[in-house]
Amino acid sequence: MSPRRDLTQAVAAVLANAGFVPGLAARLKCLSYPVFNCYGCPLAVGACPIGTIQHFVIIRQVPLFVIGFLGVVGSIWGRMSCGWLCPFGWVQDLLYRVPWPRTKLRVNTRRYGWVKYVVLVVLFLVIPFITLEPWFCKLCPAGTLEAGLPWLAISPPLRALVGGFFWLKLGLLAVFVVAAMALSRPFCRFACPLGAMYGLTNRWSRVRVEADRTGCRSCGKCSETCPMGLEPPRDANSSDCIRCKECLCCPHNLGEAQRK
Amino acid sequence: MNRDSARGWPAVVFGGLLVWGLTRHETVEVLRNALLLCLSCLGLGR
Repeated sequence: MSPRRDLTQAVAAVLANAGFVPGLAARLKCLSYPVFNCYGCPLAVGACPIGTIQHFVIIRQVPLFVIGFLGVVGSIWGRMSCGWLCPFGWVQDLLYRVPWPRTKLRVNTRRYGWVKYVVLVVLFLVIPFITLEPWFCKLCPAGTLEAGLPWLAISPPLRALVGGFFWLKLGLLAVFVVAAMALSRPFCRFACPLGAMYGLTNRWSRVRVEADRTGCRSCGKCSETCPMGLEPPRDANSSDCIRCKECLCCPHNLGEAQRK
Repeated sequence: MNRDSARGWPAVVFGGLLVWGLTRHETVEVLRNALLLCLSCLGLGR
């Protein structure tokens, strides 16, 4: 993984949770952040777009601002935010580096990537619309990691409120943590509704990965390094490409990421 | 119209939605309401 992407993700995570700067959260928390960052986090300074849209769904209004914001970001960068800015994506990238007793799993995203669209429609839109409860947020492992656990750590009175539902959330987080050690970015590939939405914009986004297959010798190096489990010569710019540019390590000059 | 300029139209359309959303007072209010810490969402409610 490139040190530049590591550094960018670290800086983005700090900026998204810069609530330690006095007054910053109060001014910026009504604005959407381009990636997952639970606004329940004690230090969050931006609103999670997923949480915000969930809120609009349960009050049955159309979130024009957030849809417009995500659409503009996606139309320019596609899913690049997932690869370079998302704190939860970064956590998964770090977890994948933890030594795993067995061979790391390789699962083709194209085969099971449709699951995130089911999550997007069913858990994120339909069920909250019917039940008037933000069910995706209630089960979101990023929210448990970024908000639930920090609140328990800094506020002892809240520990008395821990119930069965919190343990369910913690169990779900544990599943994704263990999965992320065995398999690269499982949440992004199979469960993230924001990734599903950004994935749609990959088709027309300005920033793209231009794969030049003429020099391809099928060495498989790019597929090995792709954190999304893609085959870049064939899947560059598919809805799952996060524009991380890891595939550009190709010794045969696969291509380049460029803005057209 | 070539393919590259055609890719710019979605950004313009979404930019219009963004501005429209900003001009709607209730959007800002709803966003503020959405930011209230929801303990039940964190699994810390009774």
